Amino acid sequence: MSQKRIAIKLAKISVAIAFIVGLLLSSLQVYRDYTQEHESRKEVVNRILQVAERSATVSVHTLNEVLAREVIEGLFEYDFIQQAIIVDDLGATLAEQQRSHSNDSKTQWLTSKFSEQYEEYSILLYPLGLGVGVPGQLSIVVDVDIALGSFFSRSLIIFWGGIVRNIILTLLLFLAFHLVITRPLIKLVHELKKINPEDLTSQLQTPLSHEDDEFNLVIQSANDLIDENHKYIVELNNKNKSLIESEAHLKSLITTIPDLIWLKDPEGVYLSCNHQFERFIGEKETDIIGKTDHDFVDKELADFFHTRDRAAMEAKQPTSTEDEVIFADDGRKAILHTVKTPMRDNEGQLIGLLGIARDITQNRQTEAALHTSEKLYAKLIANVPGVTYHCTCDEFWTMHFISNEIENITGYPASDFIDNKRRTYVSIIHPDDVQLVDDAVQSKVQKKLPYTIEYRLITSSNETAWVYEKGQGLFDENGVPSRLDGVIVDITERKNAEMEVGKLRSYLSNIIDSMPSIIIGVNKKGIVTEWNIAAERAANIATNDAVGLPLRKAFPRLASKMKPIQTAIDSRQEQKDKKRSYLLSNGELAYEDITIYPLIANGVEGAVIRVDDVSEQVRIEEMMIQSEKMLSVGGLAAGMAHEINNPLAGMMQTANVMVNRLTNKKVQANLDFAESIGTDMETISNFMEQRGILRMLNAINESGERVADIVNNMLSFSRKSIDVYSSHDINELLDKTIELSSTDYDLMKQYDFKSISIVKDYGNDIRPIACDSVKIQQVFLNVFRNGAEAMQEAGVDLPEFKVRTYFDAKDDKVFIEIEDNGAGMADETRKRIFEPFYTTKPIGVGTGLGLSVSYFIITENHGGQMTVESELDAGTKFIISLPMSNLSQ
Amino acid sequence: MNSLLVLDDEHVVRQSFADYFEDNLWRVIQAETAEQALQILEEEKPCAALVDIRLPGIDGNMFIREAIERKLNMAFIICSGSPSYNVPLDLQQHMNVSSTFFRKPVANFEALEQDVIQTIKMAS
Repeated sequence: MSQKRIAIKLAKISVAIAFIVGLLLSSLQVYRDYTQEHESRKEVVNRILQVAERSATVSVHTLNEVLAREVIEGLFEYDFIQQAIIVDDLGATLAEQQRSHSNDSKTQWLTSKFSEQYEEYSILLYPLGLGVGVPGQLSIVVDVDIALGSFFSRSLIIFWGGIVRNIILTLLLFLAFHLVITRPLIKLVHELKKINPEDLTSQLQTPLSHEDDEFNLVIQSANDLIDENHKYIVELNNKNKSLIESEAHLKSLITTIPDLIWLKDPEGVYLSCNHQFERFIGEKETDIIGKTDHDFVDKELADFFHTRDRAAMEAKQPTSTEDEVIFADDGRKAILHTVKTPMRDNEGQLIGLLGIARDITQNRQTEAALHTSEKLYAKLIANVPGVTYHCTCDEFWTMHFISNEIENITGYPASDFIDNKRRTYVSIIHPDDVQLVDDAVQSKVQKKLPYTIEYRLITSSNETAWVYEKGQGLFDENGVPSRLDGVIVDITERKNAEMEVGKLRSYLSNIIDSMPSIIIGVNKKGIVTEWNIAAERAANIATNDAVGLPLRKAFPRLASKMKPIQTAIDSRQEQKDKKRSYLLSNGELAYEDITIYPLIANGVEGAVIRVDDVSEQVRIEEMMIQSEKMLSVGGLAAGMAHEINNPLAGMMQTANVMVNRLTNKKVQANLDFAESIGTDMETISNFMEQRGILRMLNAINESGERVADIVNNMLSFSRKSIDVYSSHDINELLDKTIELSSTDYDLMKQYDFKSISIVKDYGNDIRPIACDSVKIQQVFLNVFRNGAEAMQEAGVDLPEFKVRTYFDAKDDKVFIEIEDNGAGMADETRKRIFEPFYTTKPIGVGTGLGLSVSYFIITENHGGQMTVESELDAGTKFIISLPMSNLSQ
Repeated sequence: MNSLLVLDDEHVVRQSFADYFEDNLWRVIQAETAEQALQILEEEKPCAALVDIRLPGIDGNMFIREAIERKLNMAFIICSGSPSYNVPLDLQQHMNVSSTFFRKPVANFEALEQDVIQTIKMAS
């Protein structure tokens, strides 16, 4: 019994340990005893010798043999002294005794192991203790065995005592082990024996008085184990049950599966098969198992099957074949797709061949149909005027299918893109459009909507191709877009055309905008469709605001034109309204030409209205008309001048003579006649003076002069001039005029022309010019006069003329600029300054012909130009240009 | 005493010239037409002639040409009311024809008188 063996084992081990330990301890004690015994023996012997010394010394020095003998006999009282001898100073033995030796000592063998049998001790005997002279000697021999006698008997007791103690200890330990371990163990075993594998619900009981020790733990652990086991077994049972069930399911599955399933051993003997296989063979499973193909089909076919089975078994992987077979039960023909799998055990030993055959007759037919439809489909795709594709919704647009049309667009074959073999689709998208395409596709696909995009591709020849793409996402069962299907169409031509149209449009609108005319397009209903910059400015409405408004709102001035617009559209004929006048906000009259062109392009019904500001033109025209009028006046004046001048001469010259005769004291006739009638010239002129006769005569003269002036001025309008043009230096003419101005009577009358500073800036490369110097001077004089009056009127402190001349080689013209720093003039005045009889001066001051005549002289007589630049409060500048040649005559 | 032929068809004008020059101690002969003036020149030898251009019959220019033809040593001063008149080129070449053309009405008689005296000096 194991429990007994444990107790004995424990007892044996404890006894052996106690014995060895006891023995070791006893030996230690014995050894210690021995060393002490050795020391005490030496001490005892020395003390004995000391005691005997004196007597021995005396005996030696007195040569007293008796005393010596007594000493030796005294020494022999100690049983361990074997021999004693006293020798005198001459070496003669004084006394000697030897104990008879008995060899029966039982401990002799032991003593001889660790010590000599005899030990000899001797002392020198000096006379009277002086330490000098020749000593005698006392020697003794000690028998160690006898000396150790007591030691041995003590050691024996120690040994025996130790053995007895150990035996008692062993017995007690054995008892204790039995009580403490063996008995509870036996109880435990009894308890464990109670465990019933069939019923694991009962619990083990802890032995009494062991509730708190390890036994209890063991019992508890055992209980836990039982519980676990119990649970496990219950689970196992359940699993087992479901396993049986699933096996049944499997069996029925295999049976009902439409595939043929069979299992053969390596020799071709059937091990198992399902219902379908039964039908194929035409026998029940029970009749099939244990048989081979030879039992069912003719030998030739069976051999063929067998050969194939062998090949399948030797192959490492399943092999598949397709055969046309005839089912034995109903004789129908079928195509079977057979997969044969060699089956091996854990050591790789072939144990059989599993065959699974599927009737794929239907599939074949479907496939054939599919193939036909696929062909059709491929043909269709090839004919689609665009690229069809099927790709993954990833960063490369990895293509799984892309039609060959892509090569026509990009120059890359479709195969390049399949699974990103040579390039990715994203790599041919124009870099600027990659993000755009991604965003457009993702945003639509996320909402499960189809997407359409237009973007650029870079072709193999590095050209840009515009494409239009339309597609939609295919979603997996989680609703995540996995694939994209779509069509890509080359729209490069359309896009180019669009861009061309856009360019053309902006080009046209630039042209329209750059025109000074107001151009407004309207549709049939009179809604604004086009509105150029000039229109923006005129109506103060931005294009964006104006387009869509009715014309009468956008451009109220043209509200009355709705009818002509309608007429233009209906009759397809342009409508004009020339020099239509309207009032500006500042109350001035302005003129415009309105032309309405019907839009007769196909599909567009409407009209374009062009409005041109012709105010300036009208003004110039009016001026021309005035000039023409003046010309006829001039012609008339030329004819009439002689007729007027003669009576005028009669009148004025007679008045002059009258003044001369009434006042001139130097004329002898006057003096003579005065004397002859009894008076003198003094009295006469006094009378004339007092009665205002001279003033009256002067009035006649002045009035006559004015008439003469008017006639002269009117003559200036005569285009026909027979003046001979001679060459004159323009700078010289200017200087002469300035000099003349300073003495001009009319000017002097107003104010001192000399007070005006004149800044000259004459060009020094001006050749003499062919002109009528008198008339040109008249022009200069008129301009100076006009400027002087303007400065005087404005009350300028430091009146100043800037006179500048220069030659413009390009136009072959001489320019004369005369600028004053007077009050300047408003725009209205400036525009009319050259009009005949236009004057800003009060009636009676000036004829209003001066500048008009000047303009006429320059433009008509000399083929030049005369313009004026002026701003209110900023002075006035007259610019005269005269051609060097090619006079208008 | 200087003498002056005044040829002008306008009586009042002619008279005003005559009056002025006579006052200034000139002997003045008046002629209404060029024909009349030419006749006068047959008998008299005035120092100068003040000639109007537009005249009935022979005009002023023709008269001067005729007079020059006769190699009369006299001065000619032209005075006309016609604004477009210019001294013809052939006459301008003659020293005894004044380069100054006086337009009627003559406001400054003194200037006229000076020119007449000047031209007489040039002619002699």
